[in-house]
Amino acid sequence: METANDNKTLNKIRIIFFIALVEYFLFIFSGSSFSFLQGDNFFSIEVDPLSWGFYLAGMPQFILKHQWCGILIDSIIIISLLLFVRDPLNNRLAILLFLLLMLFYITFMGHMAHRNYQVGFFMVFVPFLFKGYTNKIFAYESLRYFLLFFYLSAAFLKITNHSLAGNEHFSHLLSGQFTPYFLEGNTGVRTDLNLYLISHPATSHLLFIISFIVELTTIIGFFTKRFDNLLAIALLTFHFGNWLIMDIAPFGQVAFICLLFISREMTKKKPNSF
Amino acid sequence: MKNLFLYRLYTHSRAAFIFIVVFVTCYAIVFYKKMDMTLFPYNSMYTIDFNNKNTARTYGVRINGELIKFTHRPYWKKDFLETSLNGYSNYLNHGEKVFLEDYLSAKFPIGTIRTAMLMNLTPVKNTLYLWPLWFAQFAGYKVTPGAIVEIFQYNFSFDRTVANLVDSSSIYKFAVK
Repeated sequence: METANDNKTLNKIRIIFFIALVEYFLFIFSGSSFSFLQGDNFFSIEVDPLSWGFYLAGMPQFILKHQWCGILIDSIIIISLLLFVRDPLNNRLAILLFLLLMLFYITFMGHMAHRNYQVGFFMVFVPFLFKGYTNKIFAYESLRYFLLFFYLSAAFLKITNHSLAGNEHFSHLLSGQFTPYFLEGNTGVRTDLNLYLISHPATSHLLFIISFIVELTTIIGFFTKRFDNLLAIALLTFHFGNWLIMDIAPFGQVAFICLLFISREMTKKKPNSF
Repeated sequence: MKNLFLYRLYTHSRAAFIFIVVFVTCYAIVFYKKMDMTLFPYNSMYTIDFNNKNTARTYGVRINGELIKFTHRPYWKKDFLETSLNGYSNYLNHGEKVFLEDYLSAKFPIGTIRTAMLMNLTPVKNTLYLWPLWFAQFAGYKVTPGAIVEIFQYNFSFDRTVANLVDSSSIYKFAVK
């Protein structure tokens, strides 16, 4: 019975990293992974010691100058992810993937000249960087608090910046979300919805309050793990809703949020197969 | 008390405990200073309405007058094309300087440190004027010699049911050799 449960836990972890694999494939299929960014010489980074470290070492610049290097790293990432889905307890693979995906995240955001929120893209590997089971559990718990704080802080900042007070706040913010679509005349259901929400501030404000409530509910996670599944579903719904309404896709963050689905398993006593 | 995460961590590993305490302290300082870093994200997305009206600005690249279209592309490519073009246009609008050039000049008045950091932390200027060509090719467009490449700034205003293009202006133009 216990072995069956262990296998179930391992399979859940495998599914999470299969999602991470799909998320990286989305970069490749869309034509924006390391292999395709070759020759891009414009970048703009912020005050961020981690980005500075990689750029001072000249790594992103070197990779984007040499396409063979981009193709090589893409291949290593895909092969390692496939192996990791098969054996998610291999901490050496986790370390390699953590570093390579961090490098990709820094490069991608630097050359996009804007830092997106998808840090989960490489952070998802944190609990698996360690070999010992107890170390994995502590790393998982730390990461879980990090994830919860990421969303809770968003709710906190909405309170301190008085974002909830003005009912036209979200309607104004939505104005900038689909402008390239309007410019190109590529309109449809989503641009119609965008126009509807801009012209109906009360409805858009209601959605804004719902998103605030979802972010605020992550506070529950600091006291109990019992509702982690519900929190994960709420956060995933929030992100996919963002994609629909604001054209901000959650790819890169989905596997990270899915870690909440294994919180009960990751706090039990050491399973046989670990 | 014994169930507290930090207490359990302390009893398990002093080094890990110190690491977490240092990490949390750094995060608290960075958060207090409203700084956004990769490992210490300041998730203030959409908390401040800078614009305070239903208007928006966007940019577009035209080759011989034809607008480069990218919104039909898969998400990451579309996002990269849109956001990097905004970044490059901001660079042009700010006297061909990226943010870190001003920041490093203000923080590091000593010439040698500043020069060394600028060399790696900011893009090399002498070929940057050709970036719109890379952008066009990345978006799947062919640019032939003699083509006129132009970057436009577009201002939109939104009323009840339509997005109105209020005005547009050329912010950058060159002919491909």
